Amino acid sequence: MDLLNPTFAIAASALRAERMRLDVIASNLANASTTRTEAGGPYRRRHVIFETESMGSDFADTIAALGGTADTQRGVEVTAVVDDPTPPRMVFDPGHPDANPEGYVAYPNVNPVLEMVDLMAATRAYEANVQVVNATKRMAESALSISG
Amino acid sequence: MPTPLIDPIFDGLARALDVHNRRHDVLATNLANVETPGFRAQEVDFRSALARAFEQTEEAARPADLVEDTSAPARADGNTVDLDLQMAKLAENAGRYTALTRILGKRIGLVRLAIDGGR
Repeated sequence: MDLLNPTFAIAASALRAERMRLDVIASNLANASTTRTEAGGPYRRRHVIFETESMGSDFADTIAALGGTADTQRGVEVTAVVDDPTPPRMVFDPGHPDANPEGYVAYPNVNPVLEMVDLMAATRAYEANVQVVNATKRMAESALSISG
Repeated sequence: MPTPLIDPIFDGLARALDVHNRRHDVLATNLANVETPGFRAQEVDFRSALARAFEQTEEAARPADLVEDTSAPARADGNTVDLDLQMAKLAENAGRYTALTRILGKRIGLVRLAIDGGR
């Protein structure tokens, strides 16, 4: 897919990663009050780990190394989705079916404000990379129209 | 390097386009990693690469060197990508690229005009 232009692959990797981050944020917000999960206990907030990802194929890497352009094309990838280790939010609600003997219910360690801020950041990063795709497209178009 | 048959500026313009293309790649990499902890923003050594592009030497074909972009301070997570700055650079770079393609197109048009003898 990066035959024509590797920049598309870089931007696409970022779009994929940011979309995954949005998915995780959506899941956190949707489960902000979930007290029962398959693993038992309340839902735990999750977050994504971003890492730089070397793009090209072996062939492209070799060519790049020969030309002295190695290590420029680096996209991003989600390498893990990990649980937030902070303890659950304890709310006193003796009538709740999941309350412990002391009358406290363990709610997920999700902070909606934090999630919303994260949501905005992910959206902006996504938009920035859409702009990269558009700019790349325009550049390719103008290059294709060189003819005099 | 052999003397170009038609117009020596063609080679220079093509290499200048290459430099812009490479810079576009580097800026795209920065923007893709805008949220990657510890990522250091990069930049091409633009000035020297562009100056080299129009030299009639073997050296001209060497790709632009990469340098660390130190124009923005590191955030708390060690990342040095400034979204606004990188977007501005991307737009500027794409605009210059388009301008260069136009110039190259015009020069080709001139050569064609000469070949046609102005008819």
